[in-house]
Amino acid sequence: MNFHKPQETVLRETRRIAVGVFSMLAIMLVVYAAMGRFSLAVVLGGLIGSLYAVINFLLLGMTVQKVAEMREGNEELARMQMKSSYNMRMVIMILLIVVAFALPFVDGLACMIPMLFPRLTILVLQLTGKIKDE
Amino acid sequence: METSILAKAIVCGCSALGAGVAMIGGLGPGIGEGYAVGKALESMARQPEMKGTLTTTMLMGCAVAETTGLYSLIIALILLFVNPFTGLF
Repeated sequence: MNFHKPQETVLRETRRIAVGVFSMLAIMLVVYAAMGRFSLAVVLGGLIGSLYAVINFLLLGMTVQKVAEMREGNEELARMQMKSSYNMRMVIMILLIVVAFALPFVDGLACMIPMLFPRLTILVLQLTGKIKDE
Repeated sequence: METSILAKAIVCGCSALGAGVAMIGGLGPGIGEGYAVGKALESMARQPEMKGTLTTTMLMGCAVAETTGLYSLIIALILLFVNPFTGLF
């Protein structure tokens, strides 16, 4: 898959998502510490999961940008591109989580939870009015 | 003792089946995203001046749609790796 340089819109949204994801990671680590389950494996798992969640969003943004630059009449090609990008990102995510569960020094559950943080960040952005319905 | 082993085997087998069934949910977002992007492309062709707004909305929409696939993936992986039901027997 060849990507163009990400547009300012994609980078701006990714930056916002990254801030949200890492803030939620900090909250997750505090919750883990409060439950008495804090360890280096949890931190490592959380960092890997968060990093991939942000990279996943950036890759999604770059695919959306690529598709948006297509000409009229290419709807079918756009659909195929989007589906193949989704499948590729999903496979990478599955591999990453399976590896996280297999490695003894990474907490698999802590790696999996941050993958949901972009959705929560979008929800928070919507609730705070930073994403407007135009 | 033997009943407990049998019960665990049934739970493990059913969990593996459940994980497979849960992954069916991963198909939906791919189809949905593709459909949304196709429609957005049509709209961009109709109103090129709205391209920036449409790209942002499409990006956020795709991210939200993708989460449903993630939920099913997470449930499948929980059933496979951190199965809460095996502890019942």
